[in-house]
Amino acid sequence: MGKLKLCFPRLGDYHVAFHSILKVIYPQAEVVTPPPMTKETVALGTRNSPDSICAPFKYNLGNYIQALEQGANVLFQTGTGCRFGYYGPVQEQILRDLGYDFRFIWISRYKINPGKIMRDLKSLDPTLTPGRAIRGGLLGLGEILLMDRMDYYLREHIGFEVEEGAFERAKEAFLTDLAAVSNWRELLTAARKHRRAYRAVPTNMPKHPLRVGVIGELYTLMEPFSNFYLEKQLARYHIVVSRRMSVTFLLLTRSDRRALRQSRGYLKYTVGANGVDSVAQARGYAKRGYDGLIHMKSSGCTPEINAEPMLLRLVKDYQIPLLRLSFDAQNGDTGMQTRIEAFADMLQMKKDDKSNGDKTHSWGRRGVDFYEGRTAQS
Amino acid sequence: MTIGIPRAFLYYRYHHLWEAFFRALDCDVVVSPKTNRAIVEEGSRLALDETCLPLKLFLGHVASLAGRCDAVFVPRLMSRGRESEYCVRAFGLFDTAQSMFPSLTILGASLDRAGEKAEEQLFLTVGKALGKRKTRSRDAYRAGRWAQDTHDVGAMTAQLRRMDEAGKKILLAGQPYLLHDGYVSGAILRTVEGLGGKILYSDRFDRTVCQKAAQALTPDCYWLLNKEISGAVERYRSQMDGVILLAAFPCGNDALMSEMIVRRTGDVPMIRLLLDEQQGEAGLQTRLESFMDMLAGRRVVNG
Repeated sequence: MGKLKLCFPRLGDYHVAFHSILKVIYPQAEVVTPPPMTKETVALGTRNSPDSICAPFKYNLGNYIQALEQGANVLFQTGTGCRFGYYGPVQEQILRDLGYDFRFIWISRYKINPGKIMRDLKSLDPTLTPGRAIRGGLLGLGEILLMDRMDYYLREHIGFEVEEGAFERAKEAFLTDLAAVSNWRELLTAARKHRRAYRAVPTNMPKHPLRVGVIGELYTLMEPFSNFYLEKQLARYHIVVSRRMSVTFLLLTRSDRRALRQSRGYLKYTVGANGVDSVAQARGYAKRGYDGLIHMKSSGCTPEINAEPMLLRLVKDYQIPLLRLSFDAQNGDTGMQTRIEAFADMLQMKKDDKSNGDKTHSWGRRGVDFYEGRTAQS
Repeated sequence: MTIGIPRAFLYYRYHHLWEAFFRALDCDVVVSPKTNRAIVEEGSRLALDETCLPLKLFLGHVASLAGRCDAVFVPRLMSRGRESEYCVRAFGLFDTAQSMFPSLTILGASLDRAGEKAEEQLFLTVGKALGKRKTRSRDAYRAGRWAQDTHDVGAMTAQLRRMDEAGKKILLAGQPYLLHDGYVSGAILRTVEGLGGKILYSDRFDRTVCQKAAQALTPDCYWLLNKEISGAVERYRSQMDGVILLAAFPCGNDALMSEMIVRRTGDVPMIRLLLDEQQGEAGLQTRLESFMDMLAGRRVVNG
């Protein structure tokens, strides 16, 4: 095998950070970022995937195939949580059966400790020192922390920009600069510059805007292509979107113990992957008086399905409307638009009623009817 | 005190232990009836969308216990240590039952570590919730474990004996709650045995042997039951005439694992059957008949 060409599956905008990490760790190698997702990516992934596998598997596989076609010869994959933990071996097998020649670096759930990760990374480049690996990891982590903070600000404000597209332009400029960053000093300079730029974007946020909390399965939340740019669509209805799920959350802030404490009364044990986080976050949003919740997952995601009975109980107890969205690789986006529009309208009507002091009928009831859940009456 | 046990999910793997434990504590045990149409329909009605077949059956079984017992036993089985996890669905069974059936008392505790001591702890917790003394619960657990081990060893030896009998040997590989639930796999059994096949179950082989063998076929798999399935296929397929791979719809573990098994074993005739609650028997029969025909033809060609 000649020159190393490294590649990884796409996830939102994080490819910028993954790119930087690999660039620092393997300065000699070329990093191939898979091309942006299109229908073609999905079709490639779906065609070669098992029947009832969850959508992220298909997206990942599509990314890999497209990157391999562009000459990539080293693929990275991790694996924690639920069935994501076994994506690696199956994807490797499928790609080998398709006749590709590549090396597969799989950092699996039982290999996530510094020694083993180092050994895996060193197998590509024997001259790699721990110092360089740590430097790469930390730079990537710094970029991820910054991106997540900027994104959080963006999600809350993008619905209220005065000039349409201003935030998107700011974000593009930010990502371009971020991609060029190669050390911490440059990173901090970029952070200062773009934080200022984001704040300088004029907005006209009303005093009490509609606020929606987005919860659910990590891939669907973080990869906008897989959820039909839901956050963009919500912005069109002037809604403040809050989403706690991010790579920062997964790596640093989440804790099963805290989430279980926060969802006491609904969950006694964890239910796999981020199911318990969904319940804890839903309750947090409900307590803070958010106007609605959106629960997203890829179709067939077991941890999130495990969490659904509790979520349905919770929205009844707190009288908060919930929109449940489940994505496969083949949805059309018209149906999505209709549902989001109806949801946004309903939230607005509910809010108007509340502020008019109209107590004659309960919109809360109507809001809760938005889901089709059932509980046994036995 | 009457304890209800739903005849679903890991009941099919551990029911001797569960029943003997509660009997030794002088509790009455009510097991839900064998899966029938009413249970399936009730389960499907209760289930949210995208629920897998085993969970639908589970909900139906729990519902059928309402009013017939004081508490329903639903342990939360998570893992038996490193690389020996149960399905993610099983993590949530306890909480699911509690949320879906607010009027029932759900009795259970969690198992998430390796070793007999961890399992014993689960039953001590359950015994405590029933107001039993620790020593008594421990004795009851040991009696239960004994009953389960005796049964498992008996089933394995019986199956080994069957291996030497005449007839086409068909390995039925799948999760225990698919293999041994008559409603789910009954049609397969009847059809295959009617055509002169002899069914051997993937979970009635030595489990340690299977878990070791699985390393060759599906390395790094961390699901205990799936490991045993692929291990049984790896270790025993050379002695079989054919393999039937069962998977529930939609099951994530089975989807990944049967993909690996099929892609890595080309040397034995294999058929994959996806099972759901709307299964018509006729379609299944046709497929199995042609599978058995193919096996017969193969024997002639191979001499």
